[in-house]
Amino acid sequence: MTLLEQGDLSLGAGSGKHSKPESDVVTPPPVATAPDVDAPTEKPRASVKKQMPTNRGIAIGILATIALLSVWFLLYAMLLTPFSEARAQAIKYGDLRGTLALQTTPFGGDITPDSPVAMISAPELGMQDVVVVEGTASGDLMLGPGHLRNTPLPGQIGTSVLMGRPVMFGGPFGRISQAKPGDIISVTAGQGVFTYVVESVRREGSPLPQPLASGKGRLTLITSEGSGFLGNWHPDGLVYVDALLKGDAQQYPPGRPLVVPSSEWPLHGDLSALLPLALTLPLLILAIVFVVWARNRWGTWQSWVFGVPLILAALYAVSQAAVQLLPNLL
Amino acid sequence: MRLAKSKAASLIALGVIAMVLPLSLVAPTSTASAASTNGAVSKSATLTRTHLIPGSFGSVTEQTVDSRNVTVHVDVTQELRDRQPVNVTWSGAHPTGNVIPDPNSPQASQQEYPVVIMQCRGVDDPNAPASQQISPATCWTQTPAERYDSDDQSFPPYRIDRYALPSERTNSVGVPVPLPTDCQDLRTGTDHWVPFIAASGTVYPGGPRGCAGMAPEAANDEGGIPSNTTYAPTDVSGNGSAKFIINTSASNASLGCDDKHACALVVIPIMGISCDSAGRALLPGQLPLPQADRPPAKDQSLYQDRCGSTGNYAPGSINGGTSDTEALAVSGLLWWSQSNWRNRISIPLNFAPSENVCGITGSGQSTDLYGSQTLRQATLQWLPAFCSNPKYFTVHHVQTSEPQAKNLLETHLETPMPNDVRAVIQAAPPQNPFSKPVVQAPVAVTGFAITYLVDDKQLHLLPKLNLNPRLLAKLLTESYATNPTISGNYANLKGNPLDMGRDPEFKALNPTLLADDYPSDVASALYTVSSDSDVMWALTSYINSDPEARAWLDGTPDPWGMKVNKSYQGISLPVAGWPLLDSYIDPYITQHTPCLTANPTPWLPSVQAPISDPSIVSLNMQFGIANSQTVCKNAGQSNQKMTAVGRVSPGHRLMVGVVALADAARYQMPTASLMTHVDANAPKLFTDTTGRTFVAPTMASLSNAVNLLKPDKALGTWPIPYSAFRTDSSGAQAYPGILIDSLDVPTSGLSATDAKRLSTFLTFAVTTGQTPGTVFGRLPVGYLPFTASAATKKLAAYSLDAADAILKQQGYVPAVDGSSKPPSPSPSPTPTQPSPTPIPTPTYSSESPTPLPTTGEPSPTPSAATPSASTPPVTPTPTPSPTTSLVSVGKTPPYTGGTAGVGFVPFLAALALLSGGAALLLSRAKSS
Repeated sequence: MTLLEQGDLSLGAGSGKHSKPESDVVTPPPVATAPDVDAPTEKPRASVKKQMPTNRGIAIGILATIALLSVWFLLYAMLLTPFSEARAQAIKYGDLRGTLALQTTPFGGDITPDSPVAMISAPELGMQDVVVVEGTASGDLMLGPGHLRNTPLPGQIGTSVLMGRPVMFGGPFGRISQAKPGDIISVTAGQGVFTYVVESVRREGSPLPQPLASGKGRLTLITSEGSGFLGNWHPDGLVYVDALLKGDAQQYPPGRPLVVPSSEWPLHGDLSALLPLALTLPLLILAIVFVVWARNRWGTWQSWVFGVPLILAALYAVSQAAVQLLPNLL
Repeated sequence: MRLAKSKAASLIALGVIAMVLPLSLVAPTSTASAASTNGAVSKSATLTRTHLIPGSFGSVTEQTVDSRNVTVHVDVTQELRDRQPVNVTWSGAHPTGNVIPDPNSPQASQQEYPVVIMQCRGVDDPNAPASQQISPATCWTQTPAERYDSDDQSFPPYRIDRYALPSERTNSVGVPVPLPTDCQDLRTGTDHWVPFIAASGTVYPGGPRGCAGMAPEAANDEGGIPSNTTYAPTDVSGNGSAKFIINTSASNASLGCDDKHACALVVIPIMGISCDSAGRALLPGQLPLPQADRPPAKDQSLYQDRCGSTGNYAPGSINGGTSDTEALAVSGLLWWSQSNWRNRISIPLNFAPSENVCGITGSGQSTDLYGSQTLRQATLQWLPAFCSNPKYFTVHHVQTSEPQAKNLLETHLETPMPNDVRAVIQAAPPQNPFSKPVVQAPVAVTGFAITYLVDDKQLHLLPKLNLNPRLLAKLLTESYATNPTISGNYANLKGNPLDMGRDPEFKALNPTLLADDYPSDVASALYTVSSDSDVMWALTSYINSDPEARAWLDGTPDPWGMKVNKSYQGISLPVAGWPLLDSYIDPYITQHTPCLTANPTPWLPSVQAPISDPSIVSLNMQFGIANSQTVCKNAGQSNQKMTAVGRVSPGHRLMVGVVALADAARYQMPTASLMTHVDANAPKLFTDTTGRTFVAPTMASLSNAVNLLKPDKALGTWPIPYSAFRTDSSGAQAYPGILIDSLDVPTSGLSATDAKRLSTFLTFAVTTGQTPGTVFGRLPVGYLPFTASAATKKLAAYSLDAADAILKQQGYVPAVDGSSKPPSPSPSPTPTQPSPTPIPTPTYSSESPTPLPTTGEPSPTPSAATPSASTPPVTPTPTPSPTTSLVSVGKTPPYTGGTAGVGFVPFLAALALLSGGAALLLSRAKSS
């Protein structure tokens, strides 16, 4: 309309008196465009028969997608995460061997998160050469047990706190709640090999352990647990295992962080994982769009051959980001 | 000549009447405390101006041209503290002509017949040793020009002053020998130097532009804080008043007035020089003047005319912007001449002991309190009493931003370190509750004040200023245009007034106003702190609770059409730190201001220019120094930069700032009345204050506000009920700027020493410390004593409970509504096992809701003696059996994790089943 009017005006300006007739002549077009306005409402009428199944099809598609995604995520969490942890442990084990040999294993100051700092062996607690990484955020604990950054490292003066997952990612701390007083926990760290003796297993309401004597060390392992069928998959509390260091503890250099963000507290998720999630979700969408496009272009089977690995890879990346949003002790 | 001698002797000022008068509320602020014996002093003297007129054959006759009986009253002379204002009033003085609005500027010395008020070191007693006597050389002036005069005539008035000593009647007086080279080109004609002798004995000769050296506190240019030397005008009926700011050695070490060095307030009502143009006057025992110092006979009448001038200006006339047109003989410039100096009325001053008597290194370790700008005045008086009492100990108030202090305390709760924050003074509960038991004990009732310096058309300070939350919001949101260029260019502020003085709403609320020529940049800012502060939290809470202000912030224009700056539209309040959000860079201003061309910065935030230190804000507001960074200094040079406007000259000021109420009270700054109550039928588009109630900060309005407080058990304190001021009928007369200063101390995990000290301090603060007074250990003005009413006594009672809980360290926090009881059979911190030393409750094992039993070893060299070391000494017990040898250390707390996502497995499983099932059903329905 506006375009027409502008054209109309310029014509009128050029032809003086004729402006009126011109505009009269042009008036029909708006009427002519009226059917266009109605067109959208016409279309459904024309395709009533097709429309109904499509709506239902969409609903089924959505529900099925939700179901498939849920099943996928459950599969990922229960079956795939242990592989990811096993791979990480293998790499970190190698790294730790290297730094131990070079005597460069960090034991103070501000340690880079995710770097390996110690190795635990405790057969009664179900651990054999498990590498401990620095940091206890959800992402850190995907690699193995983590060391709470504002506490001393194992072997050092004071209470060192380690956290580990009970079920997901291999569940390295899945059996620590079965510890009994007197069990031995052996920790290899940058300052040597330390032997801890389990004092107590605590839950909510249990008396706290005795105050530490000067110059002594304690190790506290934390994980979560629940009750009932697949109990540890929906925890309702924390388990603490306290172990006293045999012999004197080591001193350490200053520079530890005084506080850690709440994402590193027990049973807290890591909201900062929203960023990788936001970055990987478009990948998944792109993969799906590609498959749909390819199906129209190439045919169903051909597109499946390309599509399945693509979508699985994208799904894996998305899941790995999303799982960090979940509480770290799962 | 004999005649002259006896007359001179009889003319010495007499009559000393000292009266102790109750301190009246002279200043516009009514926050000053009730009367106390501050040593108000009145003194009278008869002052004359008598020339010696040469007659025939060497005779002289006296000619008294003026005689006045002047009475001076000073309201406070005892226990003075730095920057304290004293009010000086007088009657009977010669009316002043050529009046200059700012009596503290060096230019004001050019007035005719001013009353000069200055602070001089020494005692005014002829029997005292010479080194301790006051003289012009021990009187403070900020600029060297005020103590130096040169004249192109050979015999200017001060050289034929009949009371001057022969040595003072020579061509050059007080010239340093040798003359510094800097001075050689600056001297002309006859000159008279009045050196300044510092408290240390150093002599600063001064001279033209201070070329021969001046005290470090002195300056040639008036900048920053104005001089306290006052050239005050007297009105046509002979009365006058001035507010004189006392400087102690804390702010002027060269003058050096303190409790150990006597000083006096010297009031010199300028009468004019008593002339002796023939050079005949002699004081007892003096030789006649040498010929060179006597004016030649032919010129004597000329010099007499100049010296005997009674002024070029009519009494009461205002200076029209000219300078050097005054009659020198009656101006304030010659305050040091003997004719004027002998007319002085000196009032001895007595100073309070210095506030830093405790020093940084007291005996033993000090206990530090962090936070609170609003309790500063109270702790300044409390803590010296505390550290100087051998029964007590040293406490320091480390002034930091309150939100920061609360964060530090939370850090301590999570990970204790040896010397970290254990006690915080705040004026608002923490935004996130503390993670461990912390008691918030009220220690003072005070508030914030909006202080102002607003002059009316007659160039006088307004006695009362009304402000409503919307005006405060307008100032804070940078919604005034501040500048005609911005007004024209910036779409956000189109149609908005240039500044508050031009805002019809401001004019409606303050109808007695107002000039139209306020500097717009200064009049558009609310001077406040840039750091986070509980005062800003309270102020923005007050603004947020007002429906008119809130609606305006959300985009509704005010009835006059002014709109909020879009950068702030819909801002969520309250906030602890005010954000500077406007980012408009005006192309025209940037192009035409060299400083900004080089480094373009947004204009409006520079106008606001908040300051990080609250004490600087109060200093600036006391002296009218505007911090708006709108002046390009050294334009075009490499060191060019935007600097503050600086002092705004009295008579044209419109400045408002946020300071602690106690600061405003101590420095007697005028405080604005804040709107509390609006009648339902009050007009929206108002032209006066009808239907709107404005409340000034007084003891009564603070007390009314305390009556409104209701304990909030969840917050553990008494929050300020901002909406109640508006809705509650008793709230109409309550001051909405009230703040409750509280001491936050953990009730678990502190060492026994810390617990005992903090408990003792708290008990002191709410009992002995609540006695009003100006000496150490008393409650200063600006605080409502806890003894004032039943409501305040409730606060005090709670704090005493809190002190007990702090002492016992059992993790018990008394409920603010009195609904809880302390744990009765208190488990003593002494262990049940035999142990040589008592075992302090270790932080690790204290009862706490945090799930982290973090026992960080604080340092590589652990020491069991460190009070808060987290590894307390424990008698080694080989195998502690769980029942008998346990130290009472608490229980494992429940976890406080984010519960979201814990049950994701059942959730996803259910989701998969449901949606899968639904999809199946749907597809079945289709096929059927």
